[in-house]
Amino acid sequence: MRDIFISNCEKSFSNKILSEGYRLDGRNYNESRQLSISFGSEYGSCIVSLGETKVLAQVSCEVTQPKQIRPNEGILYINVEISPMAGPQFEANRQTDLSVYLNRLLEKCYKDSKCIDLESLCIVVEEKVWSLRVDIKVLNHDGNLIECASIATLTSLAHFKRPDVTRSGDSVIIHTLAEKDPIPTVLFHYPVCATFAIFDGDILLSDPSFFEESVCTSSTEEGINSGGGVLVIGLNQYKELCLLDHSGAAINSSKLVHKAITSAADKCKEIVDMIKKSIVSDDTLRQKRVKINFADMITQHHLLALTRKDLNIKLKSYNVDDNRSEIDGMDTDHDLSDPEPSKYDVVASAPHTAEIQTKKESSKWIEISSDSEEDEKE
Amino acid sequence: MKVAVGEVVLPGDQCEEISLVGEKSKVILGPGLRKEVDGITITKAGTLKKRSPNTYWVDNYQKRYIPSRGENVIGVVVQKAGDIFRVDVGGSCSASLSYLSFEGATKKNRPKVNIGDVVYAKMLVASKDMEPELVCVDSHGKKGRLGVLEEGFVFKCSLNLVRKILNPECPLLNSLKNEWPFELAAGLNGRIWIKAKTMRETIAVGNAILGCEYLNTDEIKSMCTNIASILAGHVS
Repeated sequence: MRDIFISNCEKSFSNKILSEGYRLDGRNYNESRQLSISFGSEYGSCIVSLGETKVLAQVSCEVTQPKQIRPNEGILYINVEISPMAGPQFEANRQTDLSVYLNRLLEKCYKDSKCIDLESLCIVVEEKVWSLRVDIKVLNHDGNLIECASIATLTSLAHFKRPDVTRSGDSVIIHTLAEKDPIPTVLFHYPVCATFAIFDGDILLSDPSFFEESVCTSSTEEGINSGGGVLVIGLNQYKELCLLDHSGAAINSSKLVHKAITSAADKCKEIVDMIKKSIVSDDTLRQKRVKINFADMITQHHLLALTRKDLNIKLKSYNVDDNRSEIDGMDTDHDLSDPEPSKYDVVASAPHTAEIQTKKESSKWIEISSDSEEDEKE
Repeated sequence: MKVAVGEVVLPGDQCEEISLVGEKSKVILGPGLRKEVDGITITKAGTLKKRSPNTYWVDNYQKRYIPSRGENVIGVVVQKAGDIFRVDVGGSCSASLSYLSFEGATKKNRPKVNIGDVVYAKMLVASKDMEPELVCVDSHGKKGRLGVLEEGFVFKCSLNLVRKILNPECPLLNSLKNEWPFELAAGLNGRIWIKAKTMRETIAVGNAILGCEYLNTDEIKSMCTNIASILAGHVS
């Protein structure tokens, strides 16, 4: 893995603005980025995005033999994969420290906290149990992978339904989804991880971006890490602690951890509520036989406008839409005649696909002549 | 598929127009075009552009830098190795910068460059088989604006955005400089260094630059006044 190198001026700048009370992207210290959850066509597949960080989770199941020491329990297996798609610093088919660390944290959070009723996954004692496998694939890495991956794991586990099974004598029949309604996984509680970046030993930043994460864990000029680090706290909806992990410089005061846990408790509750709500709304849609898949994520807005709502560097009160609305106010008729200032139009073709076609009307975009573009290159 | 100038092209498309012109006169093929046995093939997804008389290239959205000779870039010194510095410019491999290629540097008088410093340098050698080489002086041995950039802040953006703000027709820098003073160095490798009096002003410059990526001339002007009013505290 090639490390991303952070220059001295970036480090000192970010430390300075944080001590003045600002964050680079205009958020408050305890403010998170936009969280969105979308489901795939199958049970147990979801994409969770936290700002620009995106994680895909898929749960699958198969019948296996149980472990000797736990003959009446099913098996939960978590596998994390980080491909070059997530960021240029990652290599294909290679386990990095980050993926091992992430895997271990998720196992701690979901296996060791015993949130899944593994005994309900047993079919025949000592012979057949369900083994659940959670595959986590990182689609884009823009900081706070841990929180995003944990939300994705929990959502996919809660959303997953396994096929129903009937036992007649010695034989076991596994029913298809059409024959019998599938059974949801039993979750005793819903643990979620929250991440905090620690700066100067006393500033806590929730949901750190990639830049903040790499600055706070990177060593300073003297070669020692001065009070920076990442604190991961896993809590369930009853505000019970399931996981505590800290990397980086040692924490000086226990008050900091207390502060982090109290702020994580409310946040985790909110996240769990959101997960439950989105699963319920997805369920009602599925009962109405509405087809759900990831194609819904790619809206026309995404394809056409290319606009990012979140800038990496932003003033606190800056709003991307401000510029748009001001222009709209100035010349409304201009906007009404051609609402989409694009040469191309997205047209639905086959189901769940779209194609881009050239628009008939002339475009409102300014054509920068190729001459001027070349001049500055020289 | 056969394509013409100004169209959206995809890798594998062929452009007959260029090969026809090429039979009569010399043609310069820019990024995204390649000469094959059976004509000119496109290797990138983007719009095919032409500059008269006969330069063709594919303009696309890109964030990864490919070094090319003569471009001013911003890099981070990652290693000191003997008499050269290794500089990360965002390309596939790091570039080398000799300690003699600074103004007034001699074998005895070494320039003060530390690991982690940000340098503004010119690409001297950029070939596909060799490591790129940077210099911090021009051909007269003067540093001009090149050299180590002190303090300030560096951020990354798309290559298109850098070209957009450097375009003399882009009103961004002209309208920003009337609002508050700042320093700026734009590297064609998609890195921009900014420095202003206060932290907030520096963030505001970065905000304005990143915000203008998908805006047109009028919108950029109104965005600049908007940011200036936020900075002055008129908008809460």
